[in-house]
Amino acid sequence: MDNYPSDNHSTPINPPMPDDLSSPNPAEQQAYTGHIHPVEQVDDAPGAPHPAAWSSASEPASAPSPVASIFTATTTPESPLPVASASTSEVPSETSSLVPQAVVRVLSPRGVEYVFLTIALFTGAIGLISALISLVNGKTDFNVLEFPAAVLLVSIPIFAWLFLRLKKAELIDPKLKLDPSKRRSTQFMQIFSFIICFFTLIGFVSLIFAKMAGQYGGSSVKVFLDVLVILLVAGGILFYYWRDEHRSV
Amino acid sequence: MQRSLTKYRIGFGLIGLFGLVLVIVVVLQAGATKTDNNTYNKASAIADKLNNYTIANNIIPDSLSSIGVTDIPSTVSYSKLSDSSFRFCVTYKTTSSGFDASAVEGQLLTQTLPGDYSGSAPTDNSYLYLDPNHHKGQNCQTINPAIYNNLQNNINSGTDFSSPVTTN
Repeated sequence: MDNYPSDNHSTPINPPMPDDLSSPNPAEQQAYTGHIHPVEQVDDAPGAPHPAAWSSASEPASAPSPVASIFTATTTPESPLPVASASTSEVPSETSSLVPQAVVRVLSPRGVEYVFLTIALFTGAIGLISALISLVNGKTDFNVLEFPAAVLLVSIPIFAWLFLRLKKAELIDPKLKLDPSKRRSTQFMQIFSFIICFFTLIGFVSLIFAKMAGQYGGSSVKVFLDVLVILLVAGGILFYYWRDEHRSV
Repeated sequence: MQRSLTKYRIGFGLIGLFGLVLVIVVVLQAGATKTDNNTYNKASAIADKLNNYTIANNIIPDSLSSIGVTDIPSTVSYSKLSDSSFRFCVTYKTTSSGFDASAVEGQLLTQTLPGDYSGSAPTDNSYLYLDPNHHKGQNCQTINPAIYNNLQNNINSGTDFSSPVTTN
């Protein structure tokens, strides 16, 4: 079982919940609402506790249900956002070392928007690169441009709307830049764009060597322009997210 | 806040303008491309009939109507040059290059040498083959099919059938 003690992106394990969430028992209600991450909405359905979710040297995996009432929101040094922890004052001594561990990982509502943004950016970048490569090779016929045009027509407005909406939200609440869901998406794009730039450069150098050896007879200018287009788009994405993350961290 | 977002709005505006130009170019070419597709389909059907007739009868037809082609579009022309060759022309309104930008990206990423972007032009002129990749305007081919001499004459004269004999 993986342990995510410092990942505030993780959702603490839920104790057994009754079918009726509007339980008249205040202690039960505390158990089901007090541990919810303030940024992330926990949408996991009520169910029995996962045995492996409880880590204790003194307690077997099957924890007693009264432990459910001990969750309170606290802040860990690793994370500025509250995470669930055990309050020893209300717990029997044998359960005092219980530490809830995440078994369900969900995105924050903003995190879902960042994933949408990433998908739109990824698709739009492919469309933009395809269109520019076609143009630098002097190809403007219908069959060549139809797909990039369709991609750009759909992805640019959606990407622009999501980007401006999230940028506004970041300006209002700068802590949003530290949202793990957001960072996961932006880090994925950094890694992916780095891989694209990296292997494109290798391919270009390989082609230069092939040209020197007379193994490639095509236009090296066109290939250079193709490489330039890929590096501009993928490198631009890498540069923006790299700067954005290092600035916010 | 509005000021800090202005630069992004300008950037999106420029990319959006580029996308809009692409869309306009594509939409403007759509009608002509549809016509070209119809031309290509009809010309391909005619080419099949022409090849089949030539192979079956060992002669080059005088006209397309003599092989049963009645619906001949104005964009297709046929002329018999001699007993052993004919010229087949198709006129297109647009260019279809067959260029694949994603293949270029893939070739660079996988360190494979980029090939010729001009498409696959037919190299064998012994039969009529219509390439879906074409340039704008008239695309003509001069075909010299392998016309065998009369089968019975060759049998009588003991001709080796393993090698084709073309008529002059």
